Amino acid sequence: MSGRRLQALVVEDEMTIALMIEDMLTDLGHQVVAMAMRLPQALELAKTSEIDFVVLDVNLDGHMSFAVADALIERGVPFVFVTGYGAAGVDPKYRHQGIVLQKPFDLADLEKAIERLPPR
Amino acid sequence: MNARFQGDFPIGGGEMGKLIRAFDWSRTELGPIEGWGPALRTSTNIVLQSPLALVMLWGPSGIMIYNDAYSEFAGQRHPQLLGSKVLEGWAEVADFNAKVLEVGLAGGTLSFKDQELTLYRNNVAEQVWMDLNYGPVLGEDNKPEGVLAIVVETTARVKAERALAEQQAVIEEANKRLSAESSFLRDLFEQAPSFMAMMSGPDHVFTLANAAYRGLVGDRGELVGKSVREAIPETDSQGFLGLLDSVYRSGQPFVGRGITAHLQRQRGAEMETRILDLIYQPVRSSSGEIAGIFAEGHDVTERATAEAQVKASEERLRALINATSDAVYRMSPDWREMRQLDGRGFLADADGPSIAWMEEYLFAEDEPLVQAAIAEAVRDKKPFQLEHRIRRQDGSQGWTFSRAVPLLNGTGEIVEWFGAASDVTARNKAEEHLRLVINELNHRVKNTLAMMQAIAAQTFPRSEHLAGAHANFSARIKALATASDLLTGERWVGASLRDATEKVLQPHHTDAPKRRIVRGPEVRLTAKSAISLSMALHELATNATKYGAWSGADGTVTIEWNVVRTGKGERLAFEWREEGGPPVVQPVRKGFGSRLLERGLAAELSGDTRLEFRPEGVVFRIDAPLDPYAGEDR
Repeated sequence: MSGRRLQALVVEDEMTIALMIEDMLTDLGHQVVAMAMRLPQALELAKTSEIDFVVLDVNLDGHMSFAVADALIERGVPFVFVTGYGAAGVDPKYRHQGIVLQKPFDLADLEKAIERLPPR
Repeated sequence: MNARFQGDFPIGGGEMGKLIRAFDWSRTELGPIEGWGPALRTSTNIVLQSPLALVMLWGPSGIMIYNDAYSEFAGQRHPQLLGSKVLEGWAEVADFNAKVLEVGLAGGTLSFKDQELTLYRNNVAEQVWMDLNYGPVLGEDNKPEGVLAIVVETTARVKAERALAEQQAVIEEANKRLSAESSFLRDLFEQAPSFMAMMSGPDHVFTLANAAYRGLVGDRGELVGKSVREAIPETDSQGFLGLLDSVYRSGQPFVGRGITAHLQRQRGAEMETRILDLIYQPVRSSSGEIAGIFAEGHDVTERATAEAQVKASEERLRALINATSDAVYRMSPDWREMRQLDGRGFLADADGPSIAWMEEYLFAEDEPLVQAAIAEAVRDKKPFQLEHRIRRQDGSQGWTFSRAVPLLNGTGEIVEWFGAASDVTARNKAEEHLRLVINELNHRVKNTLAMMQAIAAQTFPRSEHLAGAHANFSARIKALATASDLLTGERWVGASLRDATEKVLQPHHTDAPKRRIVRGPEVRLTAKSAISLSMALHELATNATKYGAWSGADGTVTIEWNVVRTGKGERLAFEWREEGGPPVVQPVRKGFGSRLLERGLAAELSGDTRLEFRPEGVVFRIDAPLDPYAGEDR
């Protein structure tokens, strides 16, 4: 899933990291159409925004973001899980659904993860 | 013949006839008997021939002529009365006789029934009663010349009647007393707080039932005249009739306490259960046979229910005390004496009173603290509550959270203290551990930030071109460290907006408070929001120092916020406003700072932000919900 300009949603509760991800995605030629740092906004955007994929932090200010993952699976929107806990921090139910990206990561890590996403 | 005849007047007449014939009438107003006129002579003969007591009062003075029957009535006044003037002969009743003479001689009659008179017939005063009838005796020319009196003494009858009447009065009085007494007893019976009923005969027919009894058995119409079986049929199956039968047969009273009775107290309603204390007392007739049964007792349902509740509540309390792992204790009102302590394996048990409890359970250096809390609780009669160190059963040092409540008597005096001491040793250790972890975490976070600074310094080439970027990076890392510092003091729970603002602005402008105005109410931020806002304020402050209000000598920055209540909950309205700096020019390119303020912070706060480069100064505004999760399930 690469080679063309995609529309992305960034769900990340750390403001500076969210901005960094936005920069990285922009550098990779994609467009960040929305950002959410709290669960309610993330859920709302996951259900309504026009997006090709999502970069999704597992822990949003102490709240697990699995409900967002559920909404994305329902819409068939692929996503990259981002977590400081490692793969073990992701509910096994979602491990095969999305790519898990361990913090900290760099531009190349993110690029690879997006390449591995299933097409919509 | 005439003379003989003369000497023979009056004829017969018994003793009085003789006396009249022998009397010297010439000494009286009537004159010698030979000269008496026909009316007087005829009347005298009539008087003497009558078996009734008759007396004639003749002439204006009422000279008395009477017969044998009257002489008996006159007692010892006889025979002096004969021929005397009535007013003198009966001096004690002269007024009465004067009236008689006046009326009779005027042609009138008088009748007196049971006339009461006081006479001195036998030289003593005598109360007598008489029926007296007076009528005129007419003379030659039909003119009244005398008064004839029929005297019937009724003293004996009157006295008998009087005695009878008196007796009757006494009886009536006695009856009245009896009736009052009986009505008093009846009232007493009726109003007695205990229920009472009287049943007669082998079928136990009600003859009396008081209000309490009627209240107990409820709505059944008139009880008196009905048998117990008839009036209260449900008692049969419950054994009450059998009891009555056995008391009636044996003559032995029955005494029962806490007996359960099921009674249908309202027609058509459910049976009600009442608890009764009652006595069936056999009542014997005068001949000694059992005539009936007196039932008396109390409805103790409420008391029994209350007792049962107290018992249940006591059992629950005991269960609760047994269930808790807390040590429970009792203390004397002034805490000098520990009456009992059940240590539950946490503290040593104290089965009996001990005045040396402080030495046993407390560490000497903690005693003043505990004693101060005790003194305050005793003084205010308020619960004692303190977390303090304590010597555990195994002698080791532990921590307890101890709480005791005073039990007060009716007059508000403390009778005893009842307390529970929970073992919080493990919790305190955990808290201590947590504190150490947070300190360690903070240390590591800051170390990591310092390492990032160092790595950046070593990594980026030391060129003129990159020097500014490196300084910016370093300042941002420092701002982040400052915000972390702030949160450590609060154990990473959150921070106040004012503290966050003051702390992050401190390195930027310290000289003149006038150039930095901070206004706003107390607002709590979550840890994450506090860090993000600190970073944002650092960017604004850096820009103000380089190009804005703080770059010259006079500019000011006003930081102001308010909490606005809206239909969707409370919102934070925040403003950063620069004034008095050099004219502001819209930047050509948006840097990290702008993006952080416009995009990052808005998302972080789930609200809107607006950064304006006005010519007179930069203005930055935030409008965001105070609680980003308001209305959501967390």
